[in-house]
Formats: sequence, structure tokens, C-alpha cells
Amino acid sequence: MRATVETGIIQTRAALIIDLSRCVQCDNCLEACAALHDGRSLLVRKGSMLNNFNLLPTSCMHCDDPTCMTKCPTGAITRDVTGEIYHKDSCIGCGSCAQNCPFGNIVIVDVHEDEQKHGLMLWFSRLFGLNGKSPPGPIENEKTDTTGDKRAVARRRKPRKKAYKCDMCRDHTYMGCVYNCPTGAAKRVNPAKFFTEIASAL
Amino acid sequence: MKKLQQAEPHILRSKWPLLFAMITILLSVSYYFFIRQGAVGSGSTAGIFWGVSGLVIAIILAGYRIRRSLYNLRLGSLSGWLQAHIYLGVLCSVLIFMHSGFRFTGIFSSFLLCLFLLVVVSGIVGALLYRTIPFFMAQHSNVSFAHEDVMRRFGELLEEADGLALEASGEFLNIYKSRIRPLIKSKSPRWRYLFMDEVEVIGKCEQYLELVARQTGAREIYCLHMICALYIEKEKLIYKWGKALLLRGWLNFHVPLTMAMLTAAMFHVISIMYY
Ligand code: SF4
Ligand code: SF4
Ligand code: SF4
Repeated sequence: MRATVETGIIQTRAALIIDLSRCVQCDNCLEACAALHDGRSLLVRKGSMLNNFNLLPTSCMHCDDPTCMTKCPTGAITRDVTGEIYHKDSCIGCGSCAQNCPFGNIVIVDVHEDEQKHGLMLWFSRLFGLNGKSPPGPIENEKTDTTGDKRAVARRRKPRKKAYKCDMCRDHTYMGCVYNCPTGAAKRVNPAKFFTEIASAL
Repeated sequence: MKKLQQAEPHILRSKWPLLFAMITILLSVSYYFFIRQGAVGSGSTAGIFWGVSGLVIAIILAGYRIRRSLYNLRLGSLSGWLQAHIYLGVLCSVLIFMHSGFRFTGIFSSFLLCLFLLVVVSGIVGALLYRTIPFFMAQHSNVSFAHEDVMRRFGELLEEADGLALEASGEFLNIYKSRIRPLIKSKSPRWRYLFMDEVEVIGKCEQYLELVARQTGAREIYCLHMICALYIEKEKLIYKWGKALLLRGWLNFHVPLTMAMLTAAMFHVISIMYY
């Protein structure tokens, strides 16, 4: 409970928590997030530990008083009627929100128009577990041009800067990461309620 | 928030064990009843019914893998699917064993039953691994673990240790090169760590380095302690990495085995229908 107050997550509405004693490191949460967001995972399975078992990964917690939103110069961040805080298309990628998020949950990324590849091949590679490494997270932006194919890189249009953060899958009826975690290790909770319940149970 | 309410655990999940325990008991009673009525072979009506039901359930079980790779469709939570996978797996085993009459008859049928047994055993091992390994990995650890970081960190640790050793005397450098560096460089998972507590692992590392210090009479105790800390960090990484690899490796065993078993089952069905 003290950790939630010290880290400030008590003031957030929906924190993603991974119970490491149940997490089998399958990366399904990342894969699901990437599949629902144009191939880029908005979740990074790294972060601070709340206690021995609960990891607070890098994923927006939809604060009560979101400093990212109040400090956005163009008003591109907004809160949905259901409470999710998300970036609108008018984001110019200035980076103000990223600097003002106390948890470092926003990353500014160069977006290439032709970056994404979808389709049957991707699904087959997922089905047989052939996709190997985890999907790129927002912080791995600089790695997207490592193919060595200079002509392909030149063909790409000039990248546009854009802020990336978890939008709680607002275009879907479920949260990809939680819904696709096989062991139930990933949970999206209201920290105040969740940790009060745990403390009273103890 | 609407989605938060959806994320609460589904009440139905706690009813899975009860439901399947009841079905399994009913099936066992029916098996006993049929046995008392007369011989029940795999070719009898009841035997065929059990066999076909078992095969249908086995195909549904394989559907878990397909659901796992479909993120964009709302087909039920994956944790619910995993629960169903486990309990349906138990039910399927009971049905198939009842179909076989708990006997090995015929070469191909026996081969199929052996394959099925292997799948069941690997499933049980997997369930145990899924239950225990994450707990072992999380215990005593205050660092998060991600596959992609491991190799980079291995390299960093070796570089740091090399740097420390270079600052020490030539005599120490020789000891470092011959005795300690190979330990820090080695990346092979240690099987002896499999079900060890992380504190035990640290204890073992410290013991070993103390032994090296005593045997070699190393004077650079400070340097040795620093390198010891790096070595322990690397062993802790190996400890976690090995376990994570085991979880992934197990999938590479269970899934192909299941596919082979289902293919053989199809041949079994076709050959029965043909003859
Ligand atoms: S991005 Fe940061 S400040 Fe903004 S709502 Fe999410 S956690 Fe809060
Ligand atoms: S809630 Fe959705 S957007 Fe947020 S981390 Fe999970 S999958 Fe990604
Ligand atoms: S999907 Fe669940 S079990 Fe798999 S890595 Fe993510 S949190 Fe861990």
C-alpha cells in the first residue's frame, strides 16, 4: 500500500499490474497490444516493482489528474466519457506530454506511413510461434530501420512524430493485454480499490 | 470504468473444476456400468461413442493454439480458454482411455495410445511448470525480466568484469582469465538451478568465489568482491533465463507432439472406416 502512495499510482484510475508469480513470459500481452495497434505494442513489460510479485509495467494508468493532458499545447489529449485518456490525430509530436508524464508512460515515435505489414503470413507465424522476438514497443522506434535496405528506407516518406501511449484499447470492447494473458497475470485495476482490498484481506 | 469491470475475474471460471469433476465421475460410473453389462471393446457402440467424443474434444483442445494467435476477435478471454484446455484435457484423457479399454491392442492403436500418453504427460508437466516456474522466478527478485535484455546485459557484465580485472595486478589477471572469466562468460542454463531458491544460488556463487580466493591467495580482495557481485548478477540472470527458456521449450515439445497425435488419430479413424 505504501508503495502505491510513494509512486503516486494511488491517484490513477486504471493501472496495469502484472503478477510475476503467474507470468509465464509468453509475451502474449505485447503481441495482442501490437496486433490491436498497427503492429506497435503500447505496453513495455518492464517497469518498477510494487512489491515482491507485482510489476507495474510501462503503460498509461489514466490518471485522475493527468498532467500530460493539462500540459498539451494543442489540446490533442482528451478524456473519453468512459474515462480513457487518449491522443487525438491532431497530436503534433512536440513531446510536452512525454516530459510531463510522471511515470514515463508516453514516448514520441517517428511514424512511417508504410511501416505496417499485416496479413495471413503474420497470423501463420504467430500460430506456429515463428515470430521469434517481441513486437517493437514505442521505445524501440530507432530499430525500425535496421533492415539495411537503403532503397526501401529512401522510398519511405518523411516520418511524422507522434506520441504513443496506452489508450486502453478504446476502439475495442476488450483490453488486448488483459484479455490475451493466458494465466491471468495481467490485470487492469483501480489501484486505490485493489490495494485497499488486499490490505484489508491481509 | 466500464472495461475495468469487465476485467474482474469471471465467476464461471471457478466452476470449471466442479463441472469437469462431475462429468468425469459420471463417465467413470457409466464405464463401470457397461463393464458389468458385458465386455466393452473399442468397437462397441459405447466404445465408439467414447472414442469419437475424445477425438472431438482433442480437436477443440488444439483450438487453444489458434485462439492464442487471434488477438483481434472476441472469442472469450485466453485465461478462460487455458482453464478449459486443462479441464477438457482431463476429460479427453478419461474418454480415450475408456475407448481403449485401458489396453494396448494392435500395433497402430498401441502407437497412437503411446503418443496420446506422451501428450497427456507433457500436458501435466506443462501445467506444473506454469504453476511453479513463475513463482520461483519472481521470488526474492526486485528486478523485472525481459528476454530482449538478457543478452545485452550478459555482454555488459563481462565488459565490467574485464575492466575491473585489468586494473588489478598481473597475477590476479591470470587467475581471473583462467578461473573466473570463463564462469562469467558462460551462458548455458544451469539445470541444477531448476527448482532452487534464488538465495541458494547466490550462496553457491559466493562459496565458489571464496574457494577461488583461498586457493589462489588473491590479494586483491576488493576487486574480487566487485567481480563476485557481477558474477552473482549473471548467475541470477541465468537462473531466470533458464526457467523462461524451459517454459518456451516445453511449448515446442507439447505442440508438435499434439499435432503428430491428432494426425495419427485421423489415420486411425480413416483406417477403421475403411476396414
Ligand atoms: S500518460 Fe502519464 S500522466 Fe498521462 S494519464 Fe497516462 S500515466 Fe497519467
Ligand atoms: S489496454 Fe490495450 S493499449 Fe493499453 S497496454 Fe493493454 S493492449 Fe495496449
Ligand atoms: S501475457 Fe500474461 S503471462 Fe504472458 S507475458 Fe504477458 S503478463 Fe506474462
